[in-house]
Amino acid sequence: MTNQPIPYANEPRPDTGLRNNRLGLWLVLASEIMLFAGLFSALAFLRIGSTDWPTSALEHGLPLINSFVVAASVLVILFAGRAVTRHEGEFRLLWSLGLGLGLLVLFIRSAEWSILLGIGRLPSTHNLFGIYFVLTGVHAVLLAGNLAVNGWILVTGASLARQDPARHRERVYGAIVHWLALVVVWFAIMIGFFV
Amino acid sequence: MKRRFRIRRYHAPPGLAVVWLVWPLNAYACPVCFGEPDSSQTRGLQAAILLLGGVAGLLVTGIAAMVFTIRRRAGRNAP
Repeated sequence: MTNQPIPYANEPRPDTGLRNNRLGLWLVLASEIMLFAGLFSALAFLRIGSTDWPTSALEHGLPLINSFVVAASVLVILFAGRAVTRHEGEFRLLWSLGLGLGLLVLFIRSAEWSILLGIGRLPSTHNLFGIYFVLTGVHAVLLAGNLAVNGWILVTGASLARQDPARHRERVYGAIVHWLALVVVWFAIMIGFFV
Repeated sequence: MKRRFRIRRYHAPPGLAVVWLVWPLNAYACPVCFGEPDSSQTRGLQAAILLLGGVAGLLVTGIAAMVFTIRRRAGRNAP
């Protein structure tokens, strides 16, 4: 078995202008959109169909703080994306900062869950908590996966940027687009539960 | 030359299946929305269907637009 590189992974195919890795990325995003559409559909059914929907029973302070951290991470990640083609040192600094903010988001989320579970607001006690834990849990798993990829880019990126800058740039592009998609889902969760 | 259709013995199972499928039966609406269109559960179900159908429709439209765009570009840039 030969180790053939995937054609047109990092450079556009001349006739269609399509990169194979970007096509794969958008297919993954499409599957995640459908996953979250199903969960948000369940939320709409439960919320509108319920006569008793105690939104005030959820923890409000930590999700609000987390939203600011998520918004800050978007800025940092976008600036890192701009720096990837210009200055490797600046990119590594901003990327590390974005990774740190992502880990902070997960930490605050786990603290919020601990508070909710500690005061007996289990997924089994009300549909509100059930769908809240499912939605935020799926989101946290995907966020953790994105952070693992970001960490891998940080560790392997320096040598790859020297050997194959286009490949490095495409990896960063994919991680950023996925991060932005998760941020959109984050704010949809905030609107769905707290507005 | 046109072949004349003749009923054979092996035509019976699919024929019976078609008859069974088109035979009129009573239809029962699901208990969530039957009889009370203004209830909160019905409105919740309608919102859920609209949301899921809307997202799926947008996604399929996007995929179709992408296929047409790629096809057009490939045709334009063909050697």
